[in-house]
Amino acid sequence: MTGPLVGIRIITFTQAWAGTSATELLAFLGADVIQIESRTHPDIWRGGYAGEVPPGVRDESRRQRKWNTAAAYNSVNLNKRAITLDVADERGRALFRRLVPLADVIADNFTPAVMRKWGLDYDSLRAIRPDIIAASLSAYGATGPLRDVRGIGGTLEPMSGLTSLLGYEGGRPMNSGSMIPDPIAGAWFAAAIVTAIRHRSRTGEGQYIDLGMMEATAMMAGDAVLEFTANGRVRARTGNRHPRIAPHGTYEARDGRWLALCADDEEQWRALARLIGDPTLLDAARFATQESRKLHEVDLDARIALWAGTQDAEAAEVLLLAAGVPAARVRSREELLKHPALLARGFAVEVDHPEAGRRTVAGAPWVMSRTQPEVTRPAPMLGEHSLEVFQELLDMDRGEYEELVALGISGDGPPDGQD
Amino acid sequence: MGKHASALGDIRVVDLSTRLSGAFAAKLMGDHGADVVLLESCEGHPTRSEAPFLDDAPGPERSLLHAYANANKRSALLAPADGRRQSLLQVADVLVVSDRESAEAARAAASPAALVVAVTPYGLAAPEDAPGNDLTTSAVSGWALINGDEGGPPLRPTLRQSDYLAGLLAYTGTVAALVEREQSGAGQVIDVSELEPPLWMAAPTILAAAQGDAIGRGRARPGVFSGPVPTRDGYFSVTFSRPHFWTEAMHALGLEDLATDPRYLDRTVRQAEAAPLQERIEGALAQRGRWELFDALAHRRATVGVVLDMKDIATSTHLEERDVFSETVIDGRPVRTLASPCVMSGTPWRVRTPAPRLGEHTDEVLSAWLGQQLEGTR
Repeated sequence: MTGPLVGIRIITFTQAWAGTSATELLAFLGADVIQIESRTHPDIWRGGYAGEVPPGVRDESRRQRKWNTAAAYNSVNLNKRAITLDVADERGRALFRRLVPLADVIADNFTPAVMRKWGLDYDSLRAIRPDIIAASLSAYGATGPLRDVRGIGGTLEPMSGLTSLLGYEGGRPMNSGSMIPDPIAGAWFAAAIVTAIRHRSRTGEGQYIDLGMMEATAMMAGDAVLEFTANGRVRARTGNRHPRIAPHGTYEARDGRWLALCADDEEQWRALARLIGDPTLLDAARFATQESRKLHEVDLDARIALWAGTQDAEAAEVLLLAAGVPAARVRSREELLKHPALLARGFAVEVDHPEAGRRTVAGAPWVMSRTQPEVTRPAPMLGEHSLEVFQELLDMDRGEYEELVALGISGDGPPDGQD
Repeated sequence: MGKHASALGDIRVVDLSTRLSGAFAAKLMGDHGADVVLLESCEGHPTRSEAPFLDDAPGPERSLLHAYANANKRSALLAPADGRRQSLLQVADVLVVSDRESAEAARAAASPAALVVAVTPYGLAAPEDAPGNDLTTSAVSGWALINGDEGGPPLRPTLRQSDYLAGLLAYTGTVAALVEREQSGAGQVIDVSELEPPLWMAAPTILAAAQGDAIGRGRARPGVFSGPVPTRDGYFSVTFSRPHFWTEAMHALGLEDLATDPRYLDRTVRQAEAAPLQERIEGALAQRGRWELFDALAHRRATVGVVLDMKDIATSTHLEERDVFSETVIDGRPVRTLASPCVMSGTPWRVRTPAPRLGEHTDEVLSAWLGQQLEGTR
């Protein structure tokens, strides 16, 4: 591994997206992240055992099992190792307790009662390793009136306030096209964990982190919350409009594609107006200052839309950027990792997954001059590293491992052994 | 601030940012006790000019964005040519910048053990600089592609998500590098692009598209299958991503025939019959209050959410009990602000001091950071 957290070990029960996105960030930063699944409950983002390998990844030259080829799982678990260990079974828990002294961080995204039920809550973990960092992520956190309510990205987006802000001016509230509270909460969870790691390295003290996705996601609306607490005003939906900048929007081009553009200062405004080539824009008093452009933005938008309708989106983007105007055509899914900046920075990175094949994926969102985070492993297959981890950390011999497999406590496929 | 026992209480940060992303990263360092100095010149940090303002009256101390993103900092006002700026840069552990030129200047001035943290639209390692912001980032990252109505203009995300997220990830990378520095004693440049965090958030969609998987349409038709719908007193969201969510929700809404018909456990069947199903479910939801629905559905293990607006968030008893809020001060007025994204038993997130007035701490910072040198030059 590479990255600034080399030497830190995180053993994690995180699954699906929110918690797992956090542990992926820490794995990008070089931590040894060991993800625990069980054969009866593999990560739900593996999509279950039943069904076929997706047609787009079928490859007769490879041994392929459906649960190792799911795009959802394979996209958010880079750089991790995966073991199976059934901690619902007391023998599995006993083995887990032997791993705890070897971990810096234990993370989970269960509902708050689960770790307690297994005797793996913070106090129990701390009894095994006093400086452990125990980090739990759940929908609403372990305390407060909503603590027992379940939630997922699609319901936490409305409960965090973000949905109330997304939508066209005067229109209904919208959920985003993705379950964004998952990676948002995951990013906060990673930030909290790395903060706790720094604190421990200075003081030797561990701690307990209890993150509710609702509060973590709401942090992204902090300025709008102040608008209510300071001014008593509830922020309305404003589409693509900006509180200060006009123009600021998306406009349909001649080729049916959309172009996002804005003019943040006088220089950008003059460049845009010159490019549009409408002399009345530069001459008109109502567009002369940022304040007056904002005041007349409906008229301004109509003029820009008219111009955009005569342009091809890609060519217009080139012209606008060359003139110094912030602009971008709305990318299609297929184009998303093709921006030259992403390729140059190594963010768009090719990985070769043993079963799902070679693909370009979204990698680590940092470039560091001395401890560069790198994608060093594709997402792990179910139970891929069980024997390796047990041998490395617990000095287990193959016979003991085979026994665990026979008991269904570890292994690498469906519990009944069919594959 | 350095006196507090906290994760970053030993760290000095100079915030030279001119964008929200960098300002937010530095603010988070302040949340954990770092001594963060917002180094400004007379025009002030750009967030000071961003609407909305306290009582809608513009002024450098009245921007609500500034109040949020620059809390837990001290402000030093020094002209660009003032030699003492360089002296402050030399003694900082972390320098936060927003563009290539400032990154190079910070590297030249800083100690070899310092971290230079650059948060820019496309990243320092991009082949060329291009102007960008949250709007253009949303177009390039696929955000705009998936948000909005089919046929309508693509929508950027709410507020300033790319900025906040880039700032958050810059914070995480910086703290990780501080952990490493304890061993190596060496500094480095941490280069974060505002474009990559939203793309990292789109990783599942991107790989699904590359694998040729059938993925849902990006932008939504209005209705209960894609987002919130009206109730008697506000909007409400129900998800059906797992079969038992559907069954539980239909029972709670009194739609027993839909709950018990096994065909509807299949998402494709629901999609095929979307229009009549939508009409019945939305009809049932429209007759009840949003919290009444939440209580009925959430406790049946359906997965639901009330569309909370900013008043609901600011007055939430759940968030209150979770100790999420702090008091801050904006131009003399005490106000409640979001302060904590999670509970940390050892090093809680805190808003300790309000966003500073322009130049409020110049003398204090010069004396605390450069005391010896200042006396020598007088």
